[in-house]
Amino acid sequence: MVRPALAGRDAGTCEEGSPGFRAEGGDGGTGFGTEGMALPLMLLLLLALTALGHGALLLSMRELQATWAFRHAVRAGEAAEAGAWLAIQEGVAPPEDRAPWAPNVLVSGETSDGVRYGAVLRWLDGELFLLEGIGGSRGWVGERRMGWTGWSLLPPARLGAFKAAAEVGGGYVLGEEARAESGAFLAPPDGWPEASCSGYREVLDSLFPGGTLPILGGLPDEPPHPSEEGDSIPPLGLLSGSELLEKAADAIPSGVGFMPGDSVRGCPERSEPPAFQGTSGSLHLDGGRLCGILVALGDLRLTGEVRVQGLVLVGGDLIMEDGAVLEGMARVRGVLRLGGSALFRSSACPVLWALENLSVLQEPILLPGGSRINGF
Amino acid sequence: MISRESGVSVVEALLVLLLLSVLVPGAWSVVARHHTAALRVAHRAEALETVRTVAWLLREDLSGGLPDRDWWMGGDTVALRAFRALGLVRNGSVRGQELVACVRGIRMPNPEKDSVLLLGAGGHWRLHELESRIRLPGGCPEVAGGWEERWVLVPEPADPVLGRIFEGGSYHFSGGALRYRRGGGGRQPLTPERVREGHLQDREGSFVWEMSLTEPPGRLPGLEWRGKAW
Repeated sequence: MVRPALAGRDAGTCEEGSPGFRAEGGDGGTGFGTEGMALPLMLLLLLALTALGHGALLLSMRELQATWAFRHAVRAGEAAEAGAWLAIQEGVAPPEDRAPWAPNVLVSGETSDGVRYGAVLRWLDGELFLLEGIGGSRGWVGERRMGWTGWSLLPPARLGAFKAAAEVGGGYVLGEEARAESGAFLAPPDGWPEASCSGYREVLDSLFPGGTLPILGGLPDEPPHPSEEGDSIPPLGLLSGSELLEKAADAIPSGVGFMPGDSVRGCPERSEPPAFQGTSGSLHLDGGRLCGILVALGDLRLTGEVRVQGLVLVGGDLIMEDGAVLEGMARVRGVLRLGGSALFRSSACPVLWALENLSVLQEPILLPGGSRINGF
Repeated sequence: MISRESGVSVVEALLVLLLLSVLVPGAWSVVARHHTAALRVAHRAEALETVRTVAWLLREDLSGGLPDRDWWMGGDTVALRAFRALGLVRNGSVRGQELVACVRGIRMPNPEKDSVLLLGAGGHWRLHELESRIRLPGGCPEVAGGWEERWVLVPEPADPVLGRIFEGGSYHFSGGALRYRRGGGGRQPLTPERVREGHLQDREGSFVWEMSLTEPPGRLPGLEWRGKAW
């Protein structure tokens, strides 16, 4: 390699440090070019590294942002679900004012690590509701909602759903001396103080403008809910027979009566709450007086001087004999048999009184066959 | 002086060459490694995006329905009712086939592809076709973010209180991606094509998805992912 500077010096024309030396060397001598390429090359490499590093950093940041957003969304979703389940599991009472669509906050809170949760209940009609779980995460502007549909018994609505005082699935048999009456449908039953029913008069008048209801009719032909499959006890709204048996305060053994002849259970003149009793077999009552709701998976046999005032739900046959009296309403899967001098008197007041005063029946339940509702 | 400079120039040149011979391969190696790392980051980012998308979409769309009623397996494809909006039916608004609902959802109802699952006052869900819809002026003050619509449904609704808008669709893995097919339409890839193998299964009433993702550059293994809804 011959450098121009050396050539110049060989000719003895230039001195070190003279402008000519620098000019000549800088004007395209390959030696200068070789020294000068190192820096651009390094700069180029550094530039490439910087570009790659920058790209990787951007990707990492984007990934980090996406991960955080995903984490927030998942946290908010779980919080929404937790809010709704908290309201259900803690048995938060649904608001009594059942104005449609009005948002009723049941649960609301925030955890120490910034997860917001809540539950809002909206009545869709008198009994069905939409429970919305709402969730959020601190540092995230979004909000997630998950919904479930549920149901809570409304006494007037349940009473109004009856198409007859005795809804019977398997027909009826009326003996010669037995009686089925509907004349005092809105009046208090025998032995009840007038005040026990006077508070319901307005509701009853609006539910039954004619003041009466057919005494006999068929069972509603609604398709059964999943929870009712294989359940012979007629449902009460969305409460299946098995749920009714579970809720019944005192499970009673099947077989012959559980009440002594002169006993009185759950009647208003004694200021007792309504009786709510059920059996997973057949039952035979031979005496006593019961006010409230009676549920039997098998046959219910009323004999002697027994008097039931309220609602009877029977999975088998309802058999009344001797001087047995039923004042109220009944749903019977099998046959209604009235023999001897038995009396079936249709009466709305004891049924409404029992439904109103048994708060266990009004506990909200999630809809059978329903699913989580999202995407809203 | 001259001879010293002459020697220095040769040494400088040799030094430069030496430095270049060391630096250039070193720098090239650094750049190459960096490039591989960047590709790996990009690949991993796409893989994670795939995992997130699959986990999110399948869980969201399947957990909003019931097995056999709202989703069902057909081979390695899951067909489903993909719920997109919710409508609260205004009390007393039902007139024949029409009703008025307060709607909120992730998109507007579309009669061309949507149907409605209506909840009746008796607690039963019934299926209706959404024949047409009109957005009504004004909003729904009772429901934040909601808007009011009139729906025309077939068959006539009886006593509805709530409606869920849905489209029929299906998910399956093919061509390295999770794909969604609406009705008989095309198959849209929803994820980057990073899925080496993916399976959708119904295991005793639980919906399970498994996938393994392609290997990133270098010697790292591909991600394996398994998720479950129901």
